[in-house]
Parts: sequence; structure tokens; C-alpha cells
Amino acid sequence: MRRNVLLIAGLAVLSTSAFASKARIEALGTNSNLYIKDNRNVFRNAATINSNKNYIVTEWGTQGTASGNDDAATPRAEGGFFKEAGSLAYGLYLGNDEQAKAAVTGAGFLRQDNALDLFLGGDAGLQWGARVHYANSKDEPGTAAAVRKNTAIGLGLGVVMGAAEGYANVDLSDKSEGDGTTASNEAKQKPSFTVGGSYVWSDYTFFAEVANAKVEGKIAGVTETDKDFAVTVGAGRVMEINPTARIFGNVAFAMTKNETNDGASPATEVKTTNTALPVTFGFETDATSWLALRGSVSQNVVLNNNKVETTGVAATKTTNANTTNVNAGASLTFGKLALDGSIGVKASGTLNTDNLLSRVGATYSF
Amino acid sequence: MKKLLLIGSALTLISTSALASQARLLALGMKETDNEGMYHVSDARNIFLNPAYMNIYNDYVTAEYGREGAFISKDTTGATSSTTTLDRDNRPKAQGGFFKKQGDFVYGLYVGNESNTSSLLRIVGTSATAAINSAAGPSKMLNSADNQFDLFFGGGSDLKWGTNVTFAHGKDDSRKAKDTALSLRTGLIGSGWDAHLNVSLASKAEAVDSVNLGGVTEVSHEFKGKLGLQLGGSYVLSGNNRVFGYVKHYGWEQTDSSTLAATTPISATAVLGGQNGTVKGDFTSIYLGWGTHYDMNTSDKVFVSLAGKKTDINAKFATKGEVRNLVVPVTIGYEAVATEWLTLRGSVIQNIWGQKDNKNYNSINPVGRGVITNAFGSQGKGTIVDSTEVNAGASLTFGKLVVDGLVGVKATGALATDTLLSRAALTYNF
Repeated sequence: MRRNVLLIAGLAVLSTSAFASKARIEALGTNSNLYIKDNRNVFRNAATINSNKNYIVTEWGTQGTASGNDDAATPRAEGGFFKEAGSLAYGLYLGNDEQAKAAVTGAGFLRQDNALDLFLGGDAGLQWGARVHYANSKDEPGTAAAVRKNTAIGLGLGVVMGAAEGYANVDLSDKSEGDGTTASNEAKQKPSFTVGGSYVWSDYTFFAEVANAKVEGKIAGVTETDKDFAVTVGAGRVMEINPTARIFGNVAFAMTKNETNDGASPATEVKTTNTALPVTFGFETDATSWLALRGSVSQNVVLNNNKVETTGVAATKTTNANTTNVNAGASLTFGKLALDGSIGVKASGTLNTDNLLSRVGATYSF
Repeated sequence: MKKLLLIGSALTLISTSALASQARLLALGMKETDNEGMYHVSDARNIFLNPAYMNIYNDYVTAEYGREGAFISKDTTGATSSTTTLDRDNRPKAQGGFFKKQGDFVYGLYVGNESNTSSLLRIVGTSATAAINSAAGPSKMLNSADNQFDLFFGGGSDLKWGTNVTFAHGKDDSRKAKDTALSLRTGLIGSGWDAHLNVSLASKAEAVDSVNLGGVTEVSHEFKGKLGLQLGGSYVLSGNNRVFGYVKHYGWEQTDSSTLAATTPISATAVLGGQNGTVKGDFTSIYLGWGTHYDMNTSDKVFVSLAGKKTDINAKFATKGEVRNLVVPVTIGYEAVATEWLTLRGSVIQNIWGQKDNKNYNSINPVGRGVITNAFGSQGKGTIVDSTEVNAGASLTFGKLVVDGLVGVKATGALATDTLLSRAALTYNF
């Protein structure tokens, strides 16, 4: 009880600080990362390091899902620091392993693990930034056939020029060799990229992003491929109600296409295309000097199509079910330390106190 | 305890604000299938009863926590997927919207507020053969409305008016399924009175499903709503005394290609009731009541209402399935500002008259039968049992942000602290 009182007394005198985490981005809703400022945007545009620096961030979690990917329910541990040095800024981030496709994880290949990202940026009127992503792992259980390796390297470049920004993130290589049974089997990501930009005009941010990725798996001489292509074009607006409260919204056209080819003879190709017009709106407000709350609701409206074309099978068209999504989050600010997290349990619509925050990210600004 | 103290400490710094959510009205005794509002309790949620309320409540963003709702299938407890869902207190649907005043007008967008009444009728309208599907297979229900959006526009000063267009559309080529919902709400609020006319212009769901039942391998089924109306309003007698009422009527046609005979025994609890071909159905609800509230001080209120509601449902199969309910509930509720950051409310409801005369439930598909039983009581004639119901809720007010929810666990009568609020909703007034 004494500790409780001390904790409460401490909170009462604390000031606000910047919030930055995956939890915040998720609570702000679909496409929020494309027009709302957040430290996490450094992974989208490395040049934003110039305006988001001098902090340490840790995202709580362990190894993620069974396949090692990161999601809201089973987050992966990661974190890093960003610091200014004169007119430059640099950073090191650990554990931002890229999400792996089933062609890698399902086939027994080693996925990206223990990744590190190095950042460097500068501001000479024009803000610029660069990020190098690297991961290397190996598993040698004793038999040559069971040896598995993974090496990945990527590069991110970005600029911010007043109201405009542009960025490109390229996966130069992500190669997994050996699936645990045959050392010559491999899965590798072909050079893949995400390019995008935004422009702020009259309180509105117009944004566009194109992403292209291809993974090729070679198993027992059979080459299978898994390709992704995505386009997002939209506009968002953040309205500052007062210095500690804002409401926001965005509407975007989003098209995603996934194409798989199993490499068999004859091959079975599956092409899945989604076209949607997600609308999102929400709010973020400082409830007190030490507590910020945020929430959003999003849903596909008017356009909400899913089309699956499979070799030898008639194409099927469906609408995506249950796209209404409500997210909420909170930040507890302890002076220069902020604890961000998601709140509530969606399935039951409850606000629980046994798990006060989930997907917690802790940020210490110095 | 530590966490509660933390929250409590924060909240002491903040002031009150408007309260608005399904949870608030449910705690005050709302008993409507679609949670569309209460005539004698002023609340932003009343826009779904009378859209002219947007002129009273605007400049806010609201988000009601939830996901897809409760999946409805013949395995009602274990269903983890279905094309048909209902919004329930323990499995609410995610929804939310914003309303903004612009000069003399107000506009808004709300998403995810699919109608439980519409879903219920589509559930009843589903082919019994498809609802059973096979001995072990999941039900193949007609789609309920999904991804619905509501556009609002209103204005006025002395005489306030509002309109709302609702639209939802879905399709699934794999089962040749399509569904559409379109409706229009209009409303007026005058001095001492309000009125609304809500019209369902289209509600259609169809599908062709593979089944394995009694030699039938494929079923084509369709639900087609006829013009639906809800006409209602309220009038202030004196002070806070208000009389109110509405008439709801929805008609539909359902078509079923199944060739199974009317008396084909499927199991001890599931018997087809002659749905073959096209049959008609209708839902009528007449509601009349009186309600008031007493201002105990500048912030606390006591609500009292007495109302009668007659609900008839006819599913005109070879053996007509019928719901006949007549209830006269009395509701006593309270809302008290416990502190500047905490508002508590609760209510007790009981039928002082509650009769049912429900017939031939076995004519209705087994999934629809379960939903109807849950909403209108079991088959047979008699009083509606255990009508006493207590609800409670709370609002945590953080300046312009309000977090509403239901509190307590009815079954155990406990006030649990692990689940602080259920049906939680966040509303930010800007």
C-alpha cells in the first residue's frame, strides 16, 4: 500500500512526453502511420530520425507467434535508442525482424532473427536519413543435411523537405538455406521494396505508398513463388483541438495482391486481390498530466472486394467480413518515461484491469 | 487494487462531460432489440431512434469496443465462425462514429451498427435444411448485414430535423451469396414533442449452399424484406412527464428450394416445418408508455417508466410458427455523479404483466428457434419467467473524454474488479 501511495504521488507531479510505440500506432487505426507523427515512423522514413531522437524505446514481448512473427496478441521483444550528435542523429535498434512468409516458416527454414538496424540522419535544410538492416543466424545440429542458415540485409532511405517527404525501403537480400532435412533447399526474398511519400496541403496530408515483394522457395528442385504487391493512396487530417487533444481521420484506397505458384507441373497459381476503401477516425487526448488515452474506429466502406483466382477453378469474389475495427490505447507518463499500451479486450468488449496494458512499449526520452 | 488506485488518482483531476453509449442506456433499462435508444432518457444513442437528436448531441467521436459480435450457428456455444452475427452484451460488435456541427447543420458518419432485428429475421428466414446442413456440419445461414455505414445530416433550431441513410452490402461467390440492406431514418424534434419515421427500403440475402441432409445436396434459399416501417414519437405532458410509443412492422418472403417434406424427422429437437417454396412472414411490435425523470439535485436523476409492448411474429410455414408476447415492464433507474470523475447508474426492471403464447417453434429452423427463444421466451402459453433484471453501469470522465461501460456480473451478483467495464465505449467531445 505504501508503494501504491508513492507511485500515485509520483505520477501526480509528472509532465507529458512524446509517445511512440506499435501500440500507439495500432490504437490510432488503419493507415495512421502514413500521416500521424510518431517515433515509430523511423522505420518507414529514416529521415524522421531528425525530429525523433534522444530516446530509448523497448517493446515488451518474447519471440512472437509460433512462426516467430510479431502480432498484437503475441508481440516480439524489440527496442533501441536514437541520439543526436551535432547536426547528425544516429540510432541502433534490435529485434525488428521482418515478418516471414509461410513459404519460409512453414517449410522449416530459418527466418530472420536477432536483426539489428543502424540509423544515420542529418538536417541541412533538407532532412535525410538512412537505415541499414542486417540479420544473420545459423543452426548446425551436427548433420550436414540439417544445417540451416539465414542472412538478410536491407536499406532504407528517406528525405523530409518541408511539407513533403519521400522514402524507399529495399530488402536487398533475405536468404534462408536448408530446411532442416535438405541443406540444398532454400528460400530467398528477391529484391523487394516499399516506396512512398506524402505532402501536407491545407491541413490535409496526402499520402501514397507502393510495396512489392517476392519470395522464392526451392525445395527438391521445385521452385515456388509468393509475390505481394500493394498500393495505398489516401488523405488524412489531424485537427488539434487544443495542445493536448486532437481528433483525426483518413480515407484511403488500398489495393493488395498476392500471387502464389506452387512450382508443380502443371503449376497451381492462386491470385488474391483485395480492393478496399478504409475510413478511419479517432481521437487522442491527455486525460491528465500523466495519462493519455486514444481510440479509433475504422471500416471498409463502399469498396470492400476480395477476389481469388485459382488455376483451373472459377474465380470467387467476396466482400471482406467484419472489417469494423475499434482500437484503444493509453500512455502512462512518468516524467521522461512513457509507457504505451493497448487497452481492452475486443472479443468481449471489456475494459479489464487484470491486464491494464497489452503490447507495452516503454520510451525514455533523454 | 494498485491499478484501481492509479486510475482513481488520475480521475480526481477532471470534470464531467456528456455521456453517450449503448452501455449507458442498457444500464438505465433499455430493452430494444437494436439498442436504438429511449424516448424518456436523453442520450446521443437516440440518433438511431430519431436522427434529429444529432442536433442536440454533436461534435464528438465515439468508439464502442467489440469485434464481430456473437457468431450464430446451431452450435451456439462453440461457434467460432458464421456468416451471421448478433450484437450481444458479452460479444458486442465494434462500432463507432463522429458527428460534427457545421454552421446551422450537423453531419455524421457511423460504422458497424448492424441491426439485430434484421439479423434475427434473416436467421428465421434461412432454410431449415441449410441451418441443419448435416449431422455434424456447421449451419449455413444467410448472411446478416455487415460493414454497414450510416450517413447523417440534420439541422434546425426551434424545429430540429435529421435524416440518416443506412447501407450495407456483402457477397460471397463461393456460395452464390449476396446481401443488401438499405434504410432511411427521418426525425423531428419540436417543443415538447418528437416524431420519427424509419423506413427499411431493402433487405435481401440469398445463397446457394451444399448440404448433406435427407438426400438433399444443395439448397437455394433467399430472404427478401418487404417495406418495413417504424413510426413513433413522444409528447411531453408536463414537466418531465412524457408519453411515447412506436409501431414497427416488417414483412418478408423467404424462399427455400429444399425438397424435404414438412415432417421429415431430422433429430429429436429439429424438425422441418414445411418451408419449401416461398412463404411469408411478418414482425410487428407496438410499444406505448409513459416515462419521467426526477432531478434529485443538479447532477443526479431518477428515471421511472411504465410501458406496454406487444410483439407478434408470424412465420407462415405449412405449420405457422408464431411468437405472441405482451409485456408491461416497469423500470426504475438512477444516475448519480458519485465524484466529478465517476458517474454510476443502475436500474431494475420487471414485468408487471408478461404473457406469451408462442406456437410451433419446431416449424422454425433450429438456429432461429434458439434465437427466438432467447429473445421472446420458450414455446407455449404462460407468463414470461424471471423477468426481473438489474443492470448497472459507470462512466469515467476524463475532461472531454468519457469511458462508459456496464459493471458487475449478473449471474453471480458480483462486482468484479478484473473486468472493470464491459461493453466499453469511449466518447470524446470536441
